[in-house]
Amino acid sequence: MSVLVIAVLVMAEMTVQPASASDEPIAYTSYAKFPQPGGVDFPYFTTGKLYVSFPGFSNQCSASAITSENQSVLVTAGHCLYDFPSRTWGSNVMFVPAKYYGSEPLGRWTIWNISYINGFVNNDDRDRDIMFAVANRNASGQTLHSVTGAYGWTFNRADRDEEYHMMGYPGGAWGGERLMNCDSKYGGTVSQSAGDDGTMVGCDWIVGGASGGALLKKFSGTFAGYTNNQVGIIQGRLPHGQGAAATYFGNEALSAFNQVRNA
Amino acid sequence: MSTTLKARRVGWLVAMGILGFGLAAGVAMAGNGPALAPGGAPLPALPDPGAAPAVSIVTQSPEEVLAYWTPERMAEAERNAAPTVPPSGEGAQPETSSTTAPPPPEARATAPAGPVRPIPTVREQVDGAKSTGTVPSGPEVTAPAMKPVNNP
Repeated sequence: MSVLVIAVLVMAEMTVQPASASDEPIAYTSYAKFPQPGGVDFPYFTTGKLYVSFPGFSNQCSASAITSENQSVLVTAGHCLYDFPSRTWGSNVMFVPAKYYGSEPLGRWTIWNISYINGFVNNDDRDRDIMFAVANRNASGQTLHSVTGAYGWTFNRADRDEEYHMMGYPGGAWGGERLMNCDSKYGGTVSQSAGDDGTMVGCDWIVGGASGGALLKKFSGTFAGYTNNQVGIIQGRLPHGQGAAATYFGNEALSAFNQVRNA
Repeated sequence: MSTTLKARRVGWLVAMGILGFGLAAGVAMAGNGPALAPGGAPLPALPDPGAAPAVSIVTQSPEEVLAYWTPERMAEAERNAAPTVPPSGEGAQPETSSTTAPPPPEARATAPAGPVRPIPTVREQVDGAKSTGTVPSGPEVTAPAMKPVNNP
């Protein structure tokens, strides 16, 4: 029996290997396929709006579901959940995936757990402006990912000469009522504080509301291969129309993700 | 009992022990093995790089949170996220690709350290896009009407 179990595990392990050598360069620290979304339109319904209240004000950002064992993890920008100037955590956190004007086709989701990087909470380090949260099951007992699907992920990968995609809900003049996708090539790195450099992408519609949205590579509407890898989050915009700054998933983000992926 | 027989018994016991251990280990691995994504692929087990993340537990009940967000409060949160400032002209809103960017109402990030090669192509979400097995290409916009999705 043990032989059978081991054989099954070995076969299962083999399925994670890329289909071809060019499909997944070895330089990737780690990666994961997204799960089959089970009937919802993927990947457009994986990102949504995140509502958070603070004492005296409220805010809205973007967030995305990313693949995890518990099928419940979502990721956003740290500044969406924690107000550094007042050293205050947000409350009443609610995720509304695929929101489209007044339509909320995938419902509303609450969270019960947040994992963060100390460097952001303690020092407002914008290169560590990433937080992971675990969604509660909905009233029907479903996990978040079973309804929305989830992006795959890749840590420690911000390449030049590749195309990035940003998915979020920019507000202001852009309305904030529907998800927007920006395609752009790598624009260099930007060090916003000590530590890892952020990634600069030439998406110029990034305004409030898009913060916390997804920075993706290998964007695709297909389910085959290692597509739709989230490699970071939309963090902010650069001055003088130079595009957007993203905080990409590095080692500390990986460590934070590990805290909640099984929670 | 001969030494040879004793050795055989010891050897047999050792073999059974190994088999038993293997069985126990196999069962244990089956119970705690790599999680499988719904698509069947196991998620890779990642070594913890040793950073110091922390966890904050949310104590609010889902019912309390959901009751808090009235339409008015949601609208206020959206207004706070980004004040409405038309990019140019009156009330301009992007409905197609290749739109120009609105003026930056706020710059959170500092100036870039490296060269900038922005090649922006803005396009709206392709609502209701189907998974046809083809990779989207080019900046063309296809923005059909929203296709409602039933919450499964």
